[in-house]
Amino acid sequence: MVLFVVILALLAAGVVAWASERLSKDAPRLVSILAFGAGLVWSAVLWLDGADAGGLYAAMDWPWITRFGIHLALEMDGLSLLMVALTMFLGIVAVVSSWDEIEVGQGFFQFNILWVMAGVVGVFTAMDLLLFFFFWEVMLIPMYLLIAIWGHEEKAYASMKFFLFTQISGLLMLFAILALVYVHHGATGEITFSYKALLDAEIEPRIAIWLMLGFFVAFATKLPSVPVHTWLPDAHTQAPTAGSVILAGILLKTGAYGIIRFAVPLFPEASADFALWAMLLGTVSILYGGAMAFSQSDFKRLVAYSSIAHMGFVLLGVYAFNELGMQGAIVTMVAHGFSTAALFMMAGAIQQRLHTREMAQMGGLWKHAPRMGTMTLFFVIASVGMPGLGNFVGEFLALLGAFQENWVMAVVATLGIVVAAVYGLYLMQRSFQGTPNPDVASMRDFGLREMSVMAAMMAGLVWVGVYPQHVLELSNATIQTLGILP
Amino acid sequence: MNKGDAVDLVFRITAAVTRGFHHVGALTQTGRLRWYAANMAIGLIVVVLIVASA
Repeated sequence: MVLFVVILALLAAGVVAWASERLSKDAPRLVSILAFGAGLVWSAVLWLDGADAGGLYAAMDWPWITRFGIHLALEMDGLSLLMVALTMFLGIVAVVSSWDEIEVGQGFFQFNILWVMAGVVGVFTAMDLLLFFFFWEVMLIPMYLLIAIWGHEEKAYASMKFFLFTQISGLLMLFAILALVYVHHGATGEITFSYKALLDAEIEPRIAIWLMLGFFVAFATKLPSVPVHTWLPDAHTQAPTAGSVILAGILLKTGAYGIIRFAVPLFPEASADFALWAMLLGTVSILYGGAMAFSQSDFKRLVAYSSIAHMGFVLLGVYAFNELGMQGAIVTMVAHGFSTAALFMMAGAIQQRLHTREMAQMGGLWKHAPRMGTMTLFFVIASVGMPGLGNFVGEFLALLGAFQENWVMAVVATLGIVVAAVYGLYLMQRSFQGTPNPDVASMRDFGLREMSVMAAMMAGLVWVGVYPQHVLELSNATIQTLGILP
Repeated sequence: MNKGDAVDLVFRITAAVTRGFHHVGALTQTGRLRWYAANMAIGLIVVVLIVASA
């Protein structure tokens, strides 16, 4: 019940934000901040209250389209709670990061942000496959509009590419969902889209592998993994700052979440057969993403490619099929949410000040904006994987898990951390250090508003890095109940 | 080095081919109704032949 109310509240807040544009310029973003703030407090309260005996924090199951066995079934377990809390937090970050970037349509902009996030909360809690697909699409369209309306110079190309990639891979998933329901119907005579009922579906291995691939392709595109990653650099680079923060921080995690929640548990045998290939894709993503990041001259594009590399660790960890790998994947999801959101916020702030993303036109920015420099240094170091910060814990656990499964792959993937150090420090060197660029006369530094969200993200990374048990406990509860580990 | 992402070529080529088909297809849109009618007739004959031979 409460989950449905939260999703409806976010949708309603979107409408209110849009309408409040008439009142004042500030009203829409205040509505957004309040909505996400309330959501964050709500998730914190749920977490402090603890789970019930079944490991759930909230659950509901209402009939929706009974004829086809479709239910409004929402459930929140540890992993869902973690992801929803991250969603709410990054919602605030997204609004703050685009505070004075948006000139026109402030109300509609906030409307789209709130609707994307409503879809995301739905994706993270849906327990009915059709409902899940529905929310998957709800996420897509506002995000498309965010890029297409408020994007930069090549927004039409980038938004269409994003839309086509997600839509086509989503259709494969819809096809797999329908086929799964059909197969289950053939075996039991019961039409249902319920996740729990379909978990027990008996599927011929020959068919299961194809259905699993349908899910996997949709999630791998969203994650993204090589070779279906190419929408990401364009979409991230062209999106407004809030769009990039949401895309990198949250939307990529829906792909990872989908793999953990759906692709693997629904088709355990087929996934186990496919594990080596998925690990290979993860390893290739890590190295290819890293190499591509290093080749970029555009600040934002570099961070975008680094996301591909980081999400490779998630793929590697999940398909290692052991507790360490799975834990590592989940911690990486959380830590990457913080570190990349911060770097995209930084990229947006620099672009707003210098009107360029080219690193050749930066250099020595530290002199003008020491606070921005310090923040960039911190988050670059975090994403490089320094011990004591969240990303290290996640990537280390993922590699450890992968090592037990296939040591060759783990050793090769570890090289990705070296590559990360190379492009990370190169980014820092080109933009904030070195000889000051004479073309940049002055630059406004971060103020209290920006610094407070930056501080919150720093605190998050240190928290996950120094005491990861909180995250591990939440994710472990889910891993145990999913029962996907042999 | 590979700044433009070689993997993206697959998708860019697909898009270019599709656009090519669009241009070729658009060429046939001439507004000459007799051509349209003739094409429809040819199409119909082909369909009938396929049905008849099967």
